[in-house]
Amino acid sequence: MFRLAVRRLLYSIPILIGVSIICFLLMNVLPGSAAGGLINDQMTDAEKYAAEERLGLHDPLPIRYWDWLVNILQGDLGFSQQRHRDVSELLGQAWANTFILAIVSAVIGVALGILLGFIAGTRRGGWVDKIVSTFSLAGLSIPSFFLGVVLLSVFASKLQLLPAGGWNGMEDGIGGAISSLILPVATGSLVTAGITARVMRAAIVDTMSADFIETLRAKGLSENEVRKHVMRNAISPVLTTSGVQFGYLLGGSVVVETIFRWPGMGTLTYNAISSRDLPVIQGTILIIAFAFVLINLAVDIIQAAIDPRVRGTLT
Amino acid sequence: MKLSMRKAVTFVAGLLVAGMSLTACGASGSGGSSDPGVLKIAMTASDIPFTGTYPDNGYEGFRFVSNNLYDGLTRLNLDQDTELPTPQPSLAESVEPNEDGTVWTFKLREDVEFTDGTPFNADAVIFKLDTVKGDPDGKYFDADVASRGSAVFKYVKAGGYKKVDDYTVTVETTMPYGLLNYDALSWFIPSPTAVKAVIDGGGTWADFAKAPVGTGPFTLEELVPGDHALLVRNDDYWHGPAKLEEIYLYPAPEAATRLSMFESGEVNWADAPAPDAIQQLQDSGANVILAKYPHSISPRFNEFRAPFKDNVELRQALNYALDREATAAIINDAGFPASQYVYEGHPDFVPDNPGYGYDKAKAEQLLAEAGYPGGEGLKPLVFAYPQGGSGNMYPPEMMQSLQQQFADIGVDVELMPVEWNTLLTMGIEGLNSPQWQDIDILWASPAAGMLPTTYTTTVMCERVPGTPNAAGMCNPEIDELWDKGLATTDIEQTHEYFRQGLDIALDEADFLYWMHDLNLRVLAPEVKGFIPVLSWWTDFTLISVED
Repeated sequence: MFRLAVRRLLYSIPILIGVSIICFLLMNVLPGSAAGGLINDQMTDAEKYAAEERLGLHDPLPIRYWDWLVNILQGDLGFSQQRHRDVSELLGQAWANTFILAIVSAVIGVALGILLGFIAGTRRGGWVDKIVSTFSLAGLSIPSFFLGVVLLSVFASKLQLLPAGGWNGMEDGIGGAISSLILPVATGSLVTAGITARVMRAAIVDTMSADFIETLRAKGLSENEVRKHVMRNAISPVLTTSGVQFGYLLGGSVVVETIFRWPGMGTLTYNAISSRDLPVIQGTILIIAFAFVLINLAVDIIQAAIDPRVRGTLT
Repeated sequence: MKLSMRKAVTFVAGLLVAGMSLTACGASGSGGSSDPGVLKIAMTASDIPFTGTYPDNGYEGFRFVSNNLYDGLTRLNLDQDTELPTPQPSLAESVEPNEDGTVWTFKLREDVEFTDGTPFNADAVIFKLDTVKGDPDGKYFDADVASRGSAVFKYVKAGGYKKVDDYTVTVETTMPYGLLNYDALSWFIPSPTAVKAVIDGGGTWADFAKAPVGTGPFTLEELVPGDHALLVRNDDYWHGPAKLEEIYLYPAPEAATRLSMFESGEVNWADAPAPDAIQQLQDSGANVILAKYPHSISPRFNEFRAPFKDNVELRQALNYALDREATAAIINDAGFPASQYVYEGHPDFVPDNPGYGYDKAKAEQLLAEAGYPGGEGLKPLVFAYPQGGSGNMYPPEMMQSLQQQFADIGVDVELMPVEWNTLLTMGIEGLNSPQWQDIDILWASPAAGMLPTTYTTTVMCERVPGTPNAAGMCNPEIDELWDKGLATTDIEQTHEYFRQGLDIALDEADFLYWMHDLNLRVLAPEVKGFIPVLSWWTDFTLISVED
């Protein structure tokens, strides 16, 4: 398993380089100046040139990319001229905040999705199944922006039970931290719960109709024991989709983070793109890509641990 | 399985109950708008403005951060709402130009200390000017402020400033210039001791900004990027301590979020909540403020090429085609129709020029005279506008209204939504640059006439020597008037020249005079002392939060 992990990590290097090249090129073909807010309309051409020179914008693209890559390998993600801070410092803070939101959203979303999907799948065609299917469809269909604003309006504005956003870590105690998490988690986890429930239900239905289930029943296993086998066989696709969902959540949801003033990766990336803050954009995308790679690796390992059939395919 | 389901339902319900009960204490802990002396502000900015010696985030940065942490050599009289604020003594107790405005003498206050105890004096001013006009390779040179803040140091002659005595400084200008006292509003002076300690210790100006030291009425106590900043009162402020003890700044770029923060009591001041909430806020007893100030939406025609180049009739036709009252109604009257670049009552308002009102028949007639009867022969006009951003009012709603009104006279508009920063780049690179030359009309949201220095580059043929006006507007008559207005040290004369210049621009319809902003903001009833100043800035030392 260890060799598998190392090999997968090594495979990820060309992927990350590819991602960074695409990102780098895209940011250089988009309209607007990469000097962003560093220049103004009262500067002479020489002053503008000097400002761009400080950012190294006059070097050829390959050289700029190479310089950036070498710095990355030395642990230097660069300096954000627009935000006046080291990119690593910005990313570290944003990443920590998003990780908290993502992990809680993912755990709740996946757990709820598995539970609902299991219930619906084992009661296929019944009213419980219909209710769960409606819920999961709603979870996928309701825009996060709309849901977030509604939740804010009800729980923050009207009932004044929960704060209207912001994240101050544990400075306000555990109660403050949990209260800050509830609305963004509720908004962010709904999609995950909806997708997971649908995948889980489909996998359960599929597994329940398999021949080996009849065999198990014929051998005299109780329904609970049969369901354990069903669960174990159905969980694999759920793990895959959950991994992807977690990756998305770790990337930071721009909508959720903006509405709830969550100082995470989504907000940071959005602001960086808006202000053409190239070092931050490159850093965030690289981190998000790396997170996806690690999550996929983790999913593979968990799948291999759960399902012996998978082990042989992961080489 | 029934048992399992029951367990599951019980588990989920338990989680919700536990969460809600924990939130009760959490919510009360994070709310607390009623704390006396504590002002909590939901800003439209997406992050805390930069705390160095020149802010970002436009005038929001000046209003909330720079003017609170630092002082300029002059300050606006923001303690009244009857006239446009003008520069008053601040760290300089007097500011005097020579006869032709080429040398300015600043007599400095002798009773001021930076918050680290360093005395403020002529050395501090020279140090500051050296950081932006001195040797670019110098140890303390601040390249960031020298470039971003270059507009306010533009007329300071490099090497032309000197210390006369410990409390007197003279500044030579690059040309006869009568508005240096306006530029000095934004010469934010840092403690030389603090700057040197940071930079000599291997740090940078960005490091200084993490623990800035100025002479302002507040100091920076805490800054969590993206979340909040806490400013605390400087009890020894030379102008007398502020009434507020603390100011919390929260970036909240989403209008619905700002509204919820206010309604939930997390903040007691929210800038620009959604205008459709005005009635709801008023009904709740909140202090909803709508007051005119120097801010307009005045898009610019691309006068580098057809159809707007040398076609005053077409520009006028579109100005007459705008039903500004209808647009104002769409945004719940959070703005009011603009007939000129500045609002009526502004020193640069042209009293005997009616400007433009809605007149469809006249618009159609002018359109025909322009060579496009019923819009025939006119390609769809590409109109670049932002989706949002500080000081832009409500672009999507306003643009849909405009598109319909232009269509009513046969003119099609192709909407081109862009990022706010991209729009700013268009204004810097100009509509004659290859990447932006297809744009016919460019959204503009100027601080119209807040300071006489603010619209120079908008109306003159060249922004700086060799760089044409970004929209191609060029009228030598206006240039001549503006040059005179900049050169005179008599501000009344300056306004007279500017009025004449804006009168010509109005007749020539160089702008799409559209809407004046009313600066919608909402304050909790316990916030006292707010003055709806005719400015983007606010004097927070006058504000209090009472029980």
